[in-house]
Amino acid sequence: MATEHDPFMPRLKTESRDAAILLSPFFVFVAVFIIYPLIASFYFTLNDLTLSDLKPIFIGIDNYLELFSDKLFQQALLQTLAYLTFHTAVGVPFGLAMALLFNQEFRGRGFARACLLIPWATPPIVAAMLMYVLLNSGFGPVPYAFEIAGLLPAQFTIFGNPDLALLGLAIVSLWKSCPLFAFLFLSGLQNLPSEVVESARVYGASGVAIFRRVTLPFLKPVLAVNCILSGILALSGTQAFDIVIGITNGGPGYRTYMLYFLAWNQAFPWNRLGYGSTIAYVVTIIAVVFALVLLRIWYKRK
Amino acid sequence: MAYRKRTLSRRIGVYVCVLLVLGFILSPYLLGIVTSFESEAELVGRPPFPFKAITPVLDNYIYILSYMPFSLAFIDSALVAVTTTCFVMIAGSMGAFAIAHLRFRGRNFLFNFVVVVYMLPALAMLIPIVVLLKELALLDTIIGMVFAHSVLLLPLMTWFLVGIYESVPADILEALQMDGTSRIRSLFREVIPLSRFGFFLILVFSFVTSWNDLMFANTVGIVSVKLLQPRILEFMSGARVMHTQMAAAGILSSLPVVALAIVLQRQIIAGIMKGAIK
Amino acid sequence: MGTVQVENISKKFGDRLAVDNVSFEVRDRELMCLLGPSGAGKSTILRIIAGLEPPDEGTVRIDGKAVNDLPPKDRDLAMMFQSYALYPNKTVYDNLAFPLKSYKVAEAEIKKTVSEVAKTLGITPLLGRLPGQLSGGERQRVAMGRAIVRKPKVFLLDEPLTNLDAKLRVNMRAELKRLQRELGATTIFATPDQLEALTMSDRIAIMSQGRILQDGSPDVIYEHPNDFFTATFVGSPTMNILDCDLEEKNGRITLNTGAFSLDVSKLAELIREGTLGSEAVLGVRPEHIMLTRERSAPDSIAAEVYVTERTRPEQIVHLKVGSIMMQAIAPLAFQSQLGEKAWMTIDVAKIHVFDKRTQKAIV
Repeated sequence: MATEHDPFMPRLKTESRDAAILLSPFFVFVAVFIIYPLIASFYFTLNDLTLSDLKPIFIGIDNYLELFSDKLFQQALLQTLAYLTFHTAVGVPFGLAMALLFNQEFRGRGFARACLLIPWATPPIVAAMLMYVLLNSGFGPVPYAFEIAGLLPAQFTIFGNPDLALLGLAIVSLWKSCPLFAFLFLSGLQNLPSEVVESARVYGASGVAIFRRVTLPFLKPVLAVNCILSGILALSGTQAFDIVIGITNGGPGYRTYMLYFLAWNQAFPWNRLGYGSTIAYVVTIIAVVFALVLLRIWYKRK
Repeated sequence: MAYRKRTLSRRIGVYVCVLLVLGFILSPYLLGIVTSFESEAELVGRPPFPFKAITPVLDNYIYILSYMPFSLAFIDSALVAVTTTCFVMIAGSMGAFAIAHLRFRGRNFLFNFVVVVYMLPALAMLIPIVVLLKELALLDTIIGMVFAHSVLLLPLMTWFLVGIYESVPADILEALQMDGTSRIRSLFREVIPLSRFGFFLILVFSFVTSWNDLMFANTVGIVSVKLLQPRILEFMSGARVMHTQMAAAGILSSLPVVALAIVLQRQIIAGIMKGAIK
Repeated sequence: MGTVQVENISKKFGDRLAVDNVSFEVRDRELMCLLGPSGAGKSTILRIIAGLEPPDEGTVRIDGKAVNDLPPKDRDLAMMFQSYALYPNKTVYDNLAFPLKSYKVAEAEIKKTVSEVAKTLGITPLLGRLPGQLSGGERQRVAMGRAIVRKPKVFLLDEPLTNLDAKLRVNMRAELKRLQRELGATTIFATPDQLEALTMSDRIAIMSQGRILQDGSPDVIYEHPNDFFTATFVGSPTMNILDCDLEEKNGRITLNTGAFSLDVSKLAELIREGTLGSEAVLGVRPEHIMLTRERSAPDSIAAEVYVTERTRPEQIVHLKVGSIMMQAIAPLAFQSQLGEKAWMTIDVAKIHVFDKRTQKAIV
């Protein structure tokens, strides 16, 4: 904070005191509802706890050890990583492509841009439901269209298919995420000073070269943000939970179980708050690692 | 622009791509709307919609709107979302004011800490919160739900509000001091209109997050407080509601948030015109 | 109106001493200027007087009363900021009315005052507009209006003309001066522009690196600078500066520069004690050098015309004397070719000599 010219610095003692009084509700709330649960959540991972009977039983690191032998955990871990990778590797470039497209001049551009926020605003369950209606094998027009075109066998189901269900969820997830990425990229593109692009054109650079040498480096920060955002969404955002519980509920045959969903499942339906917390922390660790890895890649490259 | 590289084929290409992308974005809604006007019998009979004509009916909407659990959930969700937003805005403003202006030991630490909390997935916070709420006998109450959502929103909103305060030019704040508004409350009253856009963004974000939330709503609310999204989940997993009715419910549930998003987008464009953001 | 006394004010920002034991006084109805380059501390002093910044040491008095503990709004001051700091979401009318509203003045009274002020400044047609819709000059007037509206004891202006384009600046200088006289307002303003200071103020305090070097009327500052910095900062074109030394030889006191010598025995009484024989600096203002085609006096100095700037209604002639460049002001009638020889006659009564070490004047 500025030491010079800081206009907010209250000059008088009474002002400081007034301010403190005014702000105490905020700090009380933060202390009770944020700081305490933060510490408690870690504490829970070391305990066995049920919601019905709120007495924690200290079990040390047993929860963590259980993870290693839990087959479902391992399966969920793999599926989560696959989902995460797909979400980021496919979603972010698509978002960038969309942004570049919407950056062009065409009639109805304002309308198109307004549409970008719609998937973000849509309640995830509703999104799940609508996509289900679109894609389900019973009456969904999309599989039907593919069927007629001869590209898919009859009664093809994506969500009922153990091998493809996760992919189906990923597509639903991308519907929600890509426009958001596009929106962020677009904001970044707006800031690109047009003189830079114009002078490149004057020098005869081709569109592709301009993109690689000028646009892309400029967008690096936004790109990093989007990748990290993608990671967070895929791991622990509504994309991870709401969509899963809405469409497949982990099935078929546990093939769409992901860590975040598993954590919730263990904590509430199965009433094992300690174990659930533990898995949630594992998710956090993965998210942090993911972010760090990305940052290292981006900041080592030039 | 003097360069005439806009060949016709390129223009057509752009429009085609735009239409494809818009199709991708809007098709679930379009189909959902159509489905909500179908009758279940028509829906189930193959071939599905685009390949056959249908006769629209209002039955689904009538059913949903008169279906008590749904309407109650709608109202409750609105109540929670509005209350949460108000709470977060007020408490967040106060906290942001403190963080931005006062100097107390550990201020920086507290601030960064608040941001770090946000990195933790919501579930990790949810578990202790549920325990806490149960101990306070606030589980399954509106107030409890408001607190729960506030936990989700407060750190980020406060952080954002601090940014807003810091972006008000220092000399305008000094002019305010010279002109007689050194009382903190009136300082507030002048500063907020100056950053109208940021405030609106926070407002929308808070409302949308609260309205759309499933996990917290499903866990904190069990019997007495059933919010909208959990209800819809119920529709999807239970067999009692027909698909067409589900679609109607979905469309109705999205209306408030999608409307807000569109308004926000317009504000953003207006804000860009004024050189306000990002 | 009011008087302002600044007593021994010091202020540090981190390690940097921004204001170093500054004291001065501004009398009632006086237009006082703090003149100095950027970073000299002028804005800081204004802000300390305003109450936006507390001093580390020292007292500020308004009308004799110490105001150190009073917040800005209670000091009965108005400040105009370099950036104008107009409230962007309020109309011009609301910007002007705001200070009055804060002091809970009656609505009818506000309306009257605002329209008066608007009329005085010629901004009445702008009352319904937003600051974003105004030009630089218009915004400046609104900022002034906002300061005037409360009829405070003292006005503080922080570089009020710096952000205006050149032509507007010249006009506004006169307007500002006239306004100040009309309102009879005690005013302190800060500027890095020496021309502004010389033309507008009743008194100038020239500052450098947090200290006041000299405090006096424009005439005194211009004609009798007591410091090397003051002499070279004030005056355009800049004073000619040459290294020299003072010698006493055979009862005559001579000033030797590398290129020429001057007999300064006439000034013997003015020369400070014990400064003879020390290294010094000679300062001569361009208007005190007379140029002729032929040698006109025994101590005229030969020089070569390097380039002329016909600034109409006069000209500035750049001359090469030995290896030193000097400037002189000559009437347009003085014709010369580049490279031609000309003769300079320096008016010895008007020279300034500064001790090289202390930078202070010895004549």
